[in-house]
Amino acid sequence: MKILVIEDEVKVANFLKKGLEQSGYEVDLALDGEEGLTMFRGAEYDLVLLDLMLPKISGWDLIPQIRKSKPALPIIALTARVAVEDRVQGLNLGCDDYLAKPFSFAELLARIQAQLRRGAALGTAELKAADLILDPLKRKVQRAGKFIDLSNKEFALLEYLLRNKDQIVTRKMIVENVWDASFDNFTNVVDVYINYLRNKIDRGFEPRLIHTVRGVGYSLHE
Amino acid sequence: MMKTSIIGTLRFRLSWTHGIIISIVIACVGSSHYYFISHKSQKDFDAHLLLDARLFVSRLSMTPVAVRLSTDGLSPVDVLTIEEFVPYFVITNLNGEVVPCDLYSKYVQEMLRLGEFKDLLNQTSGFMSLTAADGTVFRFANLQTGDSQNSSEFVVHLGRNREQVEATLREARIIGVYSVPLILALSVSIGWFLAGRALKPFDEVAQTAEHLTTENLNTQIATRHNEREVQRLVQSFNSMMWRLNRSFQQVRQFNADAAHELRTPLAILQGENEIALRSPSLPDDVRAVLASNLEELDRLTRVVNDLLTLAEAESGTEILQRKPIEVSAILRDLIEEMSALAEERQLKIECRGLPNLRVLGDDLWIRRALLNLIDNSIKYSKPGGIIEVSLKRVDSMVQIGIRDYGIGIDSKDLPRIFDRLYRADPARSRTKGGSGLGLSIVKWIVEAHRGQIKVHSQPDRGTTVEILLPAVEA
Repeated sequence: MKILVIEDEVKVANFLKKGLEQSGYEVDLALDGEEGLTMFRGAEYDLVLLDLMLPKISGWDLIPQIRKSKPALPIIALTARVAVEDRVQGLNLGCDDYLAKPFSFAELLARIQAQLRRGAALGTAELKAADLILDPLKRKVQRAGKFIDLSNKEFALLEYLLRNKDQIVTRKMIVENVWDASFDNFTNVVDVYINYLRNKIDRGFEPRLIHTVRGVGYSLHE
Repeated sequence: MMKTSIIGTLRFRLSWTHGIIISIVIACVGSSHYYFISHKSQKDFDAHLLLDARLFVSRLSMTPVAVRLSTDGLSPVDVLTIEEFVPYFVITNLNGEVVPCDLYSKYVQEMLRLGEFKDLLNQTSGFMSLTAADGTVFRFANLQTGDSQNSSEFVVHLGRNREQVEATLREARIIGVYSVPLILALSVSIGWFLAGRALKPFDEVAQTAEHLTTENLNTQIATRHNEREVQRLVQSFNSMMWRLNRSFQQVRQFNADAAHELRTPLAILQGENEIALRSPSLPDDVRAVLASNLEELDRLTRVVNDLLTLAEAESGTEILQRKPIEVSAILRDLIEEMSALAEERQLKIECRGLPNLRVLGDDLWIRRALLNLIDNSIKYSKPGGIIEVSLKRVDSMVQIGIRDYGIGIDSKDLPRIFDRLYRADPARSRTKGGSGLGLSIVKWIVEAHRGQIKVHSQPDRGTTVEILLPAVEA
C-alpha cells in the first residue's frame, strides 16, 4: 500500500513517514502543494494524506484536482483549524475523512485503514465473526444460533465493529460514526456501550470477540 | 425589529415641538392683535360718541333752557333728526333726576320705567357701558351742559348700541379660540411631514446598520442624500465600520495564527511520542515518561481546543447554523445516551413528560451545551442519586432544567463558575478530565442563542441549572 503525504511542517511530515512506514505502508513525502501534485501525477497511490494549509497550492485547491483524475482515491485531510464550518467545508470539498491537529497517530492509522477497506465495508449482506451473525436488513443478531436482543445503539455499534472487523477503531471514530457527534464527552459513553455489548454477545461464548486496544480503542476479531 | 412606541421617536417629538411653538406664537400674535383691535375700536367708538354728544348738546343749546326741554322749541324735523341721529339719550339734572322730555324714544322711556338706567343717571361725565336686561350692550357718553352762571345745569347721557362692535369682537374671539387647535393640528401634521422627510436619510442609514452582522462588516453605507449632515453621519459611520471590520479581522487572523502555532507543535509532540512508544525496545522508565507525556498532551490539547473554540466563537464569526429544532428530541437522545454512563455510577436520569417545544438554534451546539451540563451532573452526583431533566414553556421562552442532588457548589464559587479555567476544587476537577472551559463554552452557546443561563446550588444538596432559550412557534 502506497500513501502520498503532503505536509509542509517538516517534523509532522517526518513522524508521519516514520510511523506509517513502521506500520507497513510505503510513503512518499511532499513538502508543498505543487510538489504534491507533481508526485501524485508521477505515481500510483492508494491514499493521499494532506494538510489543508499548504504553500504554493493549498489543500483546498489540491483536493478537486486529485478528485478529478482519481474519483475513488481516498483522501484524508489534516488541519490546524477545527471550526465547524471548516469541517463541513472539508467534507464538502470531497475529502473522505478529516482530522484536526493535534491528532493521535493511532487514530490516524485507524482512519487510514478504514479508508483503504472502504469498498468492502458497505452493503446489506450478513456480517459474520466466528459464530456471530448480524443481519443489517432484518436487524437481527444471533450468536451460536441464539438470537440476541440489542438496543438500537448497541446494534449500530456492533454493526460498525463488524464492518471494521480485524481493525482497530478508536473511540473518536465510534462516536463520529455511531453517534454522529464529535464531542469528547461521548468517548466515556462508548466504553459503557462496549460493556453492554460484551455482556450480551461475549459473555458465556467462546471465543471472545471484542478486544480492548489500550490507549487507542477497540477491535473486533476472532 | 422591536416594536416601540411612536411617542419616543424623534419625528414625533420634532413635529409636536414644532406644532406647539407655532401655536403659541400664533396665539400670542392673535391675542395681542385682538387686544389692540378691541382697544382701538373702543377708543374710536368713544370719540364718535363724544362728538355726537357735543353736537347734540350744541343743538339743544340753540334755544333757552326752559324751551329747549320741551318739544315746542324744536321743529318736527328736528325731532325726527334727533330720533334718527341719537335714538338713545336721556337728560338728567345734576342730582341724577330725569328731566321729562318728549324726545325720549319709546325704548328709552321703557328702560327708564324699568329702572335699567339707574346707575347711568348718576353719572355726570365720562363714559359708561351698560347691558340692558334684553342683552343689548350700550355705551353712553355723559356730558354736562347749560350756562355756567345759571344754576340749572343738566347732564346729557347719550348712548349708542354697541352690539355690532361686540359681535365683531366676539367673532374674532371665537375664531381665535377655535383656530388654536386647528393651527396646532395643521402645524403638527406639517411638522410630521417635514420631520419625516428630514429624518428619512437617517432612517436609511439605520436600516443598513441593522442588517450588519460581524459577517458583513465590510458593507459600506451608500446614500443618495447629499445633505452635509447626512453625509457626515454616513462617513463617520462608514469609517467606524471600517475600523471595526479591521479589528475583527485582526482578531480572526490572530485566532487562526494562534490555532496553527499551538496545534502544530502539539501535533508534533503527540505524533513523535506515540511513534516512539511503538518501538518495542524501549526501557520501561522511558516508556513510562512517554506515556505520561501523552496523558498531559491530551489534557493540553483539550484546553487548547476549548480555548480556540471560545476565541473563535467570541471573535464574532458566525459559526452557528440556526434552524428550528425540537428540544425534547435532543434531550431524549442525550438522556438515552448518557443514561448508560449514569448507570455506571448508580445514577438515574429522570425526565417528566418532555413537551414538544422548539427553539431556533444550532442543533450541534445546543447538544454540546446540554451534554456538557448532563455530564457535569453525572460527574458531581453522589452514587445512588437521581438527575432530573425538565422542559417547559415560560412565557416566550423555553426553559430547560437540569437538577442533581450531588456535591453542589459553594456560594463563594458560584459567581465564578462560568469564568474560564476557574476550578472550584483544583484537585478533584482535574481527575475528572475537564478542560475548565466547559461551562464558559456552555454560557457562550446559550448567549449566542439569545438565551440565559442560571445556576442555583447548595453545597451537599445539589445544583440546578436552568437554560432559557427563545421559543419558536411550532
